[in-house]
Amino acid sequence: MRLGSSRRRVLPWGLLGASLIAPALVLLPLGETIWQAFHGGAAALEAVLFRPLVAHLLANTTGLIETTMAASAILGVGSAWLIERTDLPGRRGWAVLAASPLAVPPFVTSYAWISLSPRLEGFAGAALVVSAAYYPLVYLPVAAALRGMDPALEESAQTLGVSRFGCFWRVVVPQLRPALTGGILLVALNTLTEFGAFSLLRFRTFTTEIYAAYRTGFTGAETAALALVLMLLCLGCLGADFIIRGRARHARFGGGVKRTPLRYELGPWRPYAIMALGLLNIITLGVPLGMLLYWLTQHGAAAVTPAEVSPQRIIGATLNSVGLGLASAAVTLMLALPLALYAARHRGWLADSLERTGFLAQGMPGIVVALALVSLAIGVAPAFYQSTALLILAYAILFVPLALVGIRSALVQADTRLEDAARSLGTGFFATIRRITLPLAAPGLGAAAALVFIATVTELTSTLLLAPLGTRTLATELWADGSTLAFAAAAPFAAIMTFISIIATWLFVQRFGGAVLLARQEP
Amino acid sequence: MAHLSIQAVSKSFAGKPVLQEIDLEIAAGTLLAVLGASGSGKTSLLRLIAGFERLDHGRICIGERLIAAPSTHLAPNLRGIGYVMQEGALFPHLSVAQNIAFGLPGGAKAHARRVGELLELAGLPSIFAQRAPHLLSGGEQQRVALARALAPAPQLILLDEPFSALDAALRVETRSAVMAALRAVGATAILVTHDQDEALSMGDQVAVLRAGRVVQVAAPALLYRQPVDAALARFIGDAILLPGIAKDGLARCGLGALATAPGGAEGRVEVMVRPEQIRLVARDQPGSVAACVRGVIFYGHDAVVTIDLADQAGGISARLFSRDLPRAGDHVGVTVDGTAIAYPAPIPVLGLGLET
Repeated sequence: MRLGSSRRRVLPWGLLGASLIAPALVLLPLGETIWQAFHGGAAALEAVLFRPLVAHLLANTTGLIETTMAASAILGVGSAWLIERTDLPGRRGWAVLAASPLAVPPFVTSYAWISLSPRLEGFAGAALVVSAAYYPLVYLPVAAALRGMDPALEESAQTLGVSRFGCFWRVVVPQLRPALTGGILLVALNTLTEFGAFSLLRFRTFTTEIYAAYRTGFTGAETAALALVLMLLCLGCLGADFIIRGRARHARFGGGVKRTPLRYELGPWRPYAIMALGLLNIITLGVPLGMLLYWLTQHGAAAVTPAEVSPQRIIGATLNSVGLGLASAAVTLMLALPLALYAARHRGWLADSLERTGFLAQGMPGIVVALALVSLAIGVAPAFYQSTALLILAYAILFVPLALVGIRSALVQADTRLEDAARSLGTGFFATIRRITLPLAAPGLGAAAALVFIATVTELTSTLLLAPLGTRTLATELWADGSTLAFAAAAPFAAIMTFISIIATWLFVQRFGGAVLLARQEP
Repeated sequence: MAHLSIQAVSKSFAGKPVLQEIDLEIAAGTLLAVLGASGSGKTSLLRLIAGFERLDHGRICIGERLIAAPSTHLAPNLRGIGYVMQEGALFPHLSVAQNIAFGLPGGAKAHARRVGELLELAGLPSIFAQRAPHLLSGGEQQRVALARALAPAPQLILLDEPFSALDAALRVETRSAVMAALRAVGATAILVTHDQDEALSMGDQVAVLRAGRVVQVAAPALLYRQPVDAALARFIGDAILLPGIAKDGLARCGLGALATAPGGAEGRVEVMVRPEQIRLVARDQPGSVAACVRGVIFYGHDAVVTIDLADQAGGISARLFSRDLPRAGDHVGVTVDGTAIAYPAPIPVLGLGLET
């Protein structure tokens, strides 16, 4: 949709100025982290980086990432194939279940597992929780690719003497590759930035170590160096994803009407397929939600650490979470809107690079952003330290990509010819945006705001680091009670948070389709 | 390449018959064009032969080998049948050479010479080998798809409307390239199409499929001149159909007394002549029928002239060479070149006046 590209649109300077804010804010923590890391000189940085601890963390992290990538790939492709390409009964229901883990925050999942058995501490538990939480990131794009695949390709391969099994490896898998690698990279990115789950499972990664260093008073160079390594790993994933997506664009050609994809008969394998998917859903959804319900019905004394929660604490945390979520959604949308407008209506190198800068925030872990803002506030504007404003700024930086995705797709659907018509009737630029563009894009804006809201309610790391003293949210309360093994006390917070997340997610999927779940993760 | 025999094949989907009692014989090295409107069952027939669907009744043999019967179903990958799909269906992740060598054990490198031969056979330059399929035009993609299907030296080639997605100019060019390639390897082939010109120009034999049944199988010229019924006559090209009375090889109708082809109906009949059989002569020439020219549509190489016959309401259309065309309002004489076909008259529907 580049209806306006032939006529050059007049660009108001106000819009350009407003669209610079979001990219500048995204670059702020990035620059601060780099500056802090190199602050003491290259030699000091080297001394901090080449330590057994960093090697240990790298080994821990890469080991976990490799395991979760492999597990998500197998679970995601396997369930997508069963659901999309076989005569499995109840396929639509299975499809909803396969996407659902994305609505349950991973540190709720980890809380549920650790409360089931303390032996899940460490690598095994971490791999289990992260794979269960993030395999939908592989499932969703792979299922979409399987649905869109032309059955004529597989049939052609068969007439050329290739068996069904050969077909799968030589024809189906190569075509899944862009979707599969994209999904796997998202799994890696989310594993790298995850903090709450690993903290509860006592598994040491960069995020938990950065937090520990921050808590024990090591600031500046040491934590910044770790943050730098983590950020580079994340940006590496983001870059690789960007390149693969660019390549994949060329891989499709030939139009025409596609028939519905081939569905294979499971025959005698049917009960085993149902059992496998059932087991997968028990692990990814059944145990977390079941344990949550179990602890809700227990008295505080039943947990390892007995503790009771007062209704006031629950209500206070809920109100704080909802209030912060609403504020964060409003601020993030305000920041992202001018940038999205500019990028959608005035394509060019400047718009592209500004938009990409906004998306960089996807590769910035919450802990890195929060830490950078802490040190900036302390150094530059001490009045802001421990203020709600700074916390909301952190949310806005982290979730600008979510808002950009939602707004951009909404703006693309709003016909630019209607804007032209309004202008020709004598309406000014900003009045046109207010009276035409925004009403047309309203559903998309609503979706974007809701995505930011959910992400804020379930965000732990930056809340822990930046929340003003005494401000407790559902996420921080769950984390506090979970880490002290007061599982029954943690349950109400986990339940309310999960409830908000599931209801909000379900509302949009009803309204905007399952693709929204992916938009949460994809530029 | 081998002889293909289809005997009494029937197939239903969800209780709805799509193919009924199909009998076809395709001699080795010949091309059978299967012509039918959409929904006539022609693609289902190809999918049964290829093995993508199981048949309900009947049997299919390649040479002496039984490949499909209700009790026997040879998997598609074991049949040795090449299939060229509507849109080519080239594998997007493989180069042209890798596509062509897909069905050959060992991959493209081991078969560089064979790939080169096949490209040449399909009329494509050898530099295409390393290209990605999406860089080729639709016609080139279809030629690669043919080369890929021919590579494992199949017993039989099936072509499923391979030219329907191409625009007119490209279609003619691609058709002749494909024909040349099929002739060069002496392929036994079945071409499925809804395009009459394509079926008549490419098939050694043409089978017409209507509502899941074979209406007629014949060489193109015979099919065009002597279709088995009036509906088929209209389906294959333009037809002039006039009511008349036939007796002893002569049919009397609005065009005069016309000689009919042997085996025609007698009594009340429907007389069929092709528009290009009409000749315009001087109005008083003996044996001609008086007529008046209503209009002329000029096409360049030929023209369609609408004529009102003296005792025929509605008029007829004649196809004439574009030299010496009459003008609207001219009074002319009309004769018919060659024989007419007499079909039994349709049963008149009372009150609708269709029998005029």
